Amino acid sequence: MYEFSQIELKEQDGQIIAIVHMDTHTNSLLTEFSTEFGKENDTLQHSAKGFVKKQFPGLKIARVLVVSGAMILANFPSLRTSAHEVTFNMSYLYFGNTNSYISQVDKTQGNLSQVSPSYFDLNADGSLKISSQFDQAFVTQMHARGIKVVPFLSNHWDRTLGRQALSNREKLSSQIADFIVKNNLDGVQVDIENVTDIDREAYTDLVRLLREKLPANKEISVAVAANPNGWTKGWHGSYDYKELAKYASYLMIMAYDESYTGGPQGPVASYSWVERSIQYSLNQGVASEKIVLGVPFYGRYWKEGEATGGAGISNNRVDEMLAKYGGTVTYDEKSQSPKATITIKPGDPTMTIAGNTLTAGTYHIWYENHESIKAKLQLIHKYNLKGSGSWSLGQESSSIWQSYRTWLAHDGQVEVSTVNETQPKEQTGSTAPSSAVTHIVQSGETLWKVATAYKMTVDELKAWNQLTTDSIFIGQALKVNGLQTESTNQQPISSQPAANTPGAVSAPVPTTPAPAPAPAPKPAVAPPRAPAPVVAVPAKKYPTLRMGSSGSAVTDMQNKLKKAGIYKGSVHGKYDTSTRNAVIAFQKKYQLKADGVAGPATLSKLDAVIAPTKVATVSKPATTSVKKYPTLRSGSKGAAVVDMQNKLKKNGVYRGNSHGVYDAATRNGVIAFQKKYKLKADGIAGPATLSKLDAVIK
Amino acid sequence: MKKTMHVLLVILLAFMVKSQSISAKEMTSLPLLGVGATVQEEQNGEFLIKTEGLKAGEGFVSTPKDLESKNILFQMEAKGSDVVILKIEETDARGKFLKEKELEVPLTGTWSLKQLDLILESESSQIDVLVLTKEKKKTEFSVRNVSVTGQ
Repeated sequence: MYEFSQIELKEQDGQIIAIVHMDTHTNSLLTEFSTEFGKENDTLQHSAKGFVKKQFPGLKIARVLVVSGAMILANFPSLRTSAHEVTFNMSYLYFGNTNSYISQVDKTQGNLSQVSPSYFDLNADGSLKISSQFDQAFVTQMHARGIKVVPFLSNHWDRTLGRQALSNREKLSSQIADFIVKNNLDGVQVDIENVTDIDREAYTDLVRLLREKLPANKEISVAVAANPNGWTKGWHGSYDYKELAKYASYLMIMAYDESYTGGPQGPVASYSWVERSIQYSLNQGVASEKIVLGVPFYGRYWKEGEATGGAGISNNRVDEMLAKYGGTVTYDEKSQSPKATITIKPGDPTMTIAGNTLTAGTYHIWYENHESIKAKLQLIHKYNLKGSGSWSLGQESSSIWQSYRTWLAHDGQVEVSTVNETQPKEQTGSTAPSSAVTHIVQSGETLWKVATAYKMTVDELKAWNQLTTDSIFIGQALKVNGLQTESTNQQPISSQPAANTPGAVSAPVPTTPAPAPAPAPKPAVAPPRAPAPVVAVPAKKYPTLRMGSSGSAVTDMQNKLKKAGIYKGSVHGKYDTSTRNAVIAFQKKYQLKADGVAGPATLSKLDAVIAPTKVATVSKPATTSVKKYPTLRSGSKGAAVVDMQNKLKKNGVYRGNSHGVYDAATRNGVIAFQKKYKLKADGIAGPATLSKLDAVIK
Repeated sequence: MKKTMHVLLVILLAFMVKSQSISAKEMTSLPLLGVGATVQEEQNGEFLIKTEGLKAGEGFVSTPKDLESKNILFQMEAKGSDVVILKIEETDARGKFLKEKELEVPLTGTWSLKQLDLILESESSQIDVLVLTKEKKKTEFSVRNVSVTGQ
């Protein structure tokens, strides 16, 4: 077994390279390198991969280099790249009131899973002051939408007030915990800013106290200063990332204000600055799944000829200014940030931004648009982060919400190949071999998993698909060797998938047997060699319906919801509140994510539920009924968790109560189980783990 | 003449009272917050600092505002039995560390004036003044007339 001293993360061509340093003094180098690292390279690779995995669990590492001093001892690809889907999105609520907040939330089209209103302020003595914004009705409204409400605790940049809070942390933490429980809030985000390194330990201790006093099902998170330069003093030194992450559900990196009021002109959050902030967090030892990337919904403006500038402006006000005065927008490729230059001429109508009336002159505005936000969200996939946060809701251009989910769901690659293509690929110049079938990437799959499933090598799979990297994304259509599979018509999900098989996916999948693949359209010209591609996963393509959707797809869904006994309203083809409520009820009933948005998982489940019982005249061999497993992880709760806890108890790996909350003890039980059965010991109970659990306790 | 003297005396008294109120204002506007220590207000504007002794660098911190000068002077009277460190730390308006200055001072059982000055990078900077223990030690020291002034 080899020992390594440290890991550096570097980026190369958009991929993360892990450079593992090996201390030659603690490893046997008496043998010549050629012997040691030639014959036993697999062992070295195994050790290095294990070390990287331990230090950066969940992080997509494209390649691992093992070095000793200036010598490269080994260089090999890491095949841990897997499809990454983000479901956690939070946003702060700061400007407005209950009514405007609800309106702002509803404009997000179901993209948010959590909101953080400014409810927790501080009295001069550091005790809790509930802000006038608090409104129980808002909490109820959000919960009805399936959105958690986690207020943030703020000192509003007042250093002395922040220190008073830290000095008074014992009492303050009790007050916060009591208020959260009494008012059915979902946790607290600590956002004490502008204290310094002298307060570092007290800061961590406040978070520890909150974790101690809040029930396990309540969140404690921390908004931390972005620290791309690794500063240890001043404000940046007040955050002990690693220690905070021990107690917090996640750290929200405030990856904005790179440029600020009074500072020089520039982007609010340039791409490299944001990326280095993420890398700093990871290098501090924070697990990637505990990092939420904060993105700005605002920009800053500087007026030509004025000594200082940098006042804030909402992205949507920039759009307004451009519409009102015209101007130019350039996209700075280096920083991945847009810059608008707008001239207000004397006599033009005025405009007021945050109380300041803009006078005639030329304004340079660095802000955020679709392109820059999308670029930042891709970093969430690149580093397998938990999700996104945004400051603050209502400042964005509302049109971003049309794309937000797609950016986060598919590694930002929106051009997902459709399964039912109008033309076979071969006709359009594809170089895919004639035996190719299409495999749609599921959550949790890797190139290795897919390749193994189709009896291919990773290199073959990459070559067939002209992939230059190991990155794949959920929903991606991969050409695979259909001749090597047992059956291309079969649902590739087994009822009890073994670990590391294509069936061992970690995301919900439709439970119905795959419908017969849509027949390939007849090409105008016969394909040169091959039959048309055959799909290996369900071919029916479902739309995503949500509040505001209308048309025949909604009519169809309403009819089915009626048949399922969930929806009592009229079938009018409009996705209104009662339709949404019915969808939520359906999702809850079938343990789907109850977000009120009817996407493929919900609609396919609906199809399955109302489908008539299959008659026995099916000529093909009957397939094993497919059991659908959810993915449970820390923070999950409900009947599925109770069921799992009961089974873990039976298996002897869990000794706690079956209380239905996926807490630390449950996670440890899951890890113990996974280790016991040689599953990936990540503490997340996905289909592989749950099916194995079912199998072993029977 | 007597009347003139009386007027001058009144003016002098008024000036003295005003000076005292300014000094008092400086003291009350500078809350001393414990760093690994408790800060207990005693009589006559004195503060007793008791450190926990868990690590070096325990004492108090204070954050004066609106100094409107780049030349600042931190001063106080102190007594105790150990060596403490006077420190001024400058961060910019966004909390970024700029610079700091330290001075080691031995304390004795009698009150003595301790001073530390610093030329700031910018008038818009934020300032922390600190008095911290040099060594990891559970100890006590007292301070009074703590002030930070722009020169």
